Amino acid sequence: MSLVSEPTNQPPRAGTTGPGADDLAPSPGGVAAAEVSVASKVCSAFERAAEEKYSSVRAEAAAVTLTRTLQAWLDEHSFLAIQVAPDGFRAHRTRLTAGSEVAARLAAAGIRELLFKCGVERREIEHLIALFQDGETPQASPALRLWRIDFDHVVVRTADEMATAGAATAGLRAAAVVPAALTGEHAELVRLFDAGPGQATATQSTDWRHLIAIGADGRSWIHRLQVVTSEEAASRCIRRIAMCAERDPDPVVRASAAKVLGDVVETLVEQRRVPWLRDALVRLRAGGVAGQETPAWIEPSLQRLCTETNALALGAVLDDPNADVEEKTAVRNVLATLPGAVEPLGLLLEKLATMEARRLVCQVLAAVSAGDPRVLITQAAGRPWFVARNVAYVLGRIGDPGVLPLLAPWTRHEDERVRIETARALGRVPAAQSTELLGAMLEDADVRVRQSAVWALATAGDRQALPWLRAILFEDRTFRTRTAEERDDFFRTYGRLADDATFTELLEQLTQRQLLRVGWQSELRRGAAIALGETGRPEAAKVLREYAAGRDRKLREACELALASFEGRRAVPNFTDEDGWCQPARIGKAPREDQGFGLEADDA
Amino acid sequence: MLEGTSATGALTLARTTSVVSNSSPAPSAGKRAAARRLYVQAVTAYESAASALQRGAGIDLDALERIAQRTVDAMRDDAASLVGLTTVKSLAVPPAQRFMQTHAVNVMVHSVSLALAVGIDRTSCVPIALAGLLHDLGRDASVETEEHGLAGVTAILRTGPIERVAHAAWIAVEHQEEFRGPVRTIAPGSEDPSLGIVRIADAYDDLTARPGLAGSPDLVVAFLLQATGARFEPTLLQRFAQLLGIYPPGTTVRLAEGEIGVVVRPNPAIAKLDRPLVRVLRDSGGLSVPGEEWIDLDTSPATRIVESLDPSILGISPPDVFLR
Repeated sequence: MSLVSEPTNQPPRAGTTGPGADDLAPSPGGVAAAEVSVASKVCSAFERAAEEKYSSVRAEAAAVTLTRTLQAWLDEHSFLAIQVAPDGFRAHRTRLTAGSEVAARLAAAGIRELLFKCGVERREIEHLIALFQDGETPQASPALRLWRIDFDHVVVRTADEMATAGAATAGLRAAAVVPAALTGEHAELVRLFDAGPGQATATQSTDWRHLIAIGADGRSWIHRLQVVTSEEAASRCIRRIAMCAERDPDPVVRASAAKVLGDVVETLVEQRRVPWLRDALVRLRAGGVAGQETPAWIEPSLQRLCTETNALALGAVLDDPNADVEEKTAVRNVLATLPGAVEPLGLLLEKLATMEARRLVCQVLAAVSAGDPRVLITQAAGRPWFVARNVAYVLGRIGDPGVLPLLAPWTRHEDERVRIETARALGRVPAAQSTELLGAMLEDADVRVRQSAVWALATAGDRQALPWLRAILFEDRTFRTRTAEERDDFFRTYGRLADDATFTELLEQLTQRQLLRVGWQSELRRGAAIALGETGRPEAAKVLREYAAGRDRKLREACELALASFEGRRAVPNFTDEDGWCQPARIGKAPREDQGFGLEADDA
Repeated sequence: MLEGTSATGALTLARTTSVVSNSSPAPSAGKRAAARRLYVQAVTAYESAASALQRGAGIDLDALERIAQRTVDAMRDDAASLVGLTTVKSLAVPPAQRFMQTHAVNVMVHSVSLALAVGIDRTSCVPIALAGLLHDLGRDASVETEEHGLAGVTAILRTGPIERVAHAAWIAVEHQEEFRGPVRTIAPGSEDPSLGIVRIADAYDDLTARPGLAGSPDLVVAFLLQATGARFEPTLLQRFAQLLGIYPPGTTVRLAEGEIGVVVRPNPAIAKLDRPLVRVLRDSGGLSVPGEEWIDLDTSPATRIVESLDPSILGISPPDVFLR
């Protein structure tokens, strides 16, 4: 990465074609001052040196002055760096021209990175190489007029340029090339530096000692130095990249920053550092970088988050009952800032092969759409029934009363499978309106919908449903025509929701003795026993044990079942739907929460 | 044999037997040798990481962290030797003799030097050292220098767990000012010290890599202080200048009696910042000095530095002084 050569003292040869001092193009504006400053400084140094009888320093001073001029001129034009190969340079030194002698001095003076302008000049680099390959000297370009140097060893670092230059310089030992000089902040420093000491800040003192004197405040501040934590550094890194992705004037840089942000996001998800990501994104939001609409710069991050691997990883965190609460909350917060992920996640959901994967992605989808669940309905519009069912599932996982207006129309959806999932979703929304909607669904034409609705009521635990259930159980004669399984589920739910009055009524039903143990009244006693088993009250257990030893076989079996349920409920008090999809099952032992989703059966 | 180049020319350096006068305040040869070994190991380790990155292979973060830790420990013991080696701007190490850039290692050394000077503890110094070492990793991964800070983040994230490299990633993206807005003014204490430290070290090493007088360390420090103090955290910058002195290590200077030499070690006394330890290379007649001759201006009140010189036109290579 450097120009390596020996300083040369060869005199210029006659008839040479390279530029001497007079051949140098006038420097563009802004450089002249630096030229004068540097040149005069160097010359005066050499004059002093000459007085002290150093040999040939004046000649060297002239070369160095030219070096400065050239360097400043090139710096001013933000050039791409190129470099001369050491071996090649030596090989060609024997036929250096007077101008090339300057080049030799440039090399000797340590000009390692001869800067060449990007863009337009790239063609000229190739042109230059080709010309030198043929032993000619380029004359045409004013910019190249400065460069009558043997450049046949020039290589540029980009792939295309490497290919071009490599082809042109076949057989030569190519040097590596530094792609550019200082950029950004340092380019500005260089510019100021070239302007000369004190030029940029005329008002500042030039007293060096004064400048380094650290005041009392500075000293105290130094003692308070604290380096940021890794978490804060990651957060600042993300915010910085996001700012760059949003505001950099160069679209290429913006795109690059957005891509890098995606890398960071993916890394944090992979390494389960979502809280770090949350902190950065929340601050971005507070800082106004992220608006209501999904900004374009976050698109690559969305794509990374919505890959199957990452979505499943996030879903696993949300679904894991043992996951760290902070991490779970962070995942929800992060996803809530990315409403634009609904569409890609919806597409992903349709591609996933297993129920478990779909369930996890639905968890992610719920977190993403929690802020504005209406977008889910938009996604489902005009799509097959199972999309609506998935959306109903997701709305249930959001669990916010805000989803009720969206679920309400689906209580009358034409497809019973959607109505079933809607009932389940309503059971997860703790609101009076959801109980009302479920109460209405108890009269649904489809038995599976009615059963799902009654399970949902049991899940919701709202005693507002008791009068409706009572009316169905004890006054609706059509109830008698329903299947035993359905009737049992209704009784169980009634028992679950039972208040004191209801409990007393159930006891009366059970203890009511009849001469003949047949007919609907007998069925009511059996149902009351089942319901009492769901109440969880100790006094119910006592009565159930009494009747479990009775002579009525049906009532005895019901009491034994109720007692078993009674014991089971103590261990697992929650009550959720656990059945396979569209396979209503009797309410038995309370299931685990993660068994609640069965999309498998009908997706095909 | 080690080969190194300064900003001003080529070197072919050979290990020679030092001839140190008995009264010389020369740094311990053992410490200098240890510093050289560590420096070369650091350059090699960084080069390996950059090469691995370009090949798409894994990067040994443990090795880089060990280098950072050893650098911190070494600088707590003897900062001058490593700081002097930062005058080397590229290095060819046998057997390949391929030139390797030293900028990353130089920034690490300067960063650690400044961090220790402002009282940052060892534990916090290590991530700063690592950040200094990796701050330009993206430059090797990206041909677009405007984006090398961003590319650096991706590259650094690939090196290991985020908790170990978050600092380096952040500084990689921040140090280059990717968001090209107006020049901002940094008030004391308003910038995280680790970022401020690496930014100063980076700028200093970049500017001293310039050939000739433009890269003369004394002019660079003066320039940083005069013209661009507002671009860096002022207190850190001032402390950095105090550390380096008026004539920082690597500066070629002429003494009042006409000798020419290279500053080797700054004077830590604030009142004597212009009186460093100088390795004399030319006598007053302009002839090379055989062996090693040192003048400690701290204890030589009769003489002084009259000016700094461009070493290239004198055939002097400051890195030679530190690499031998």
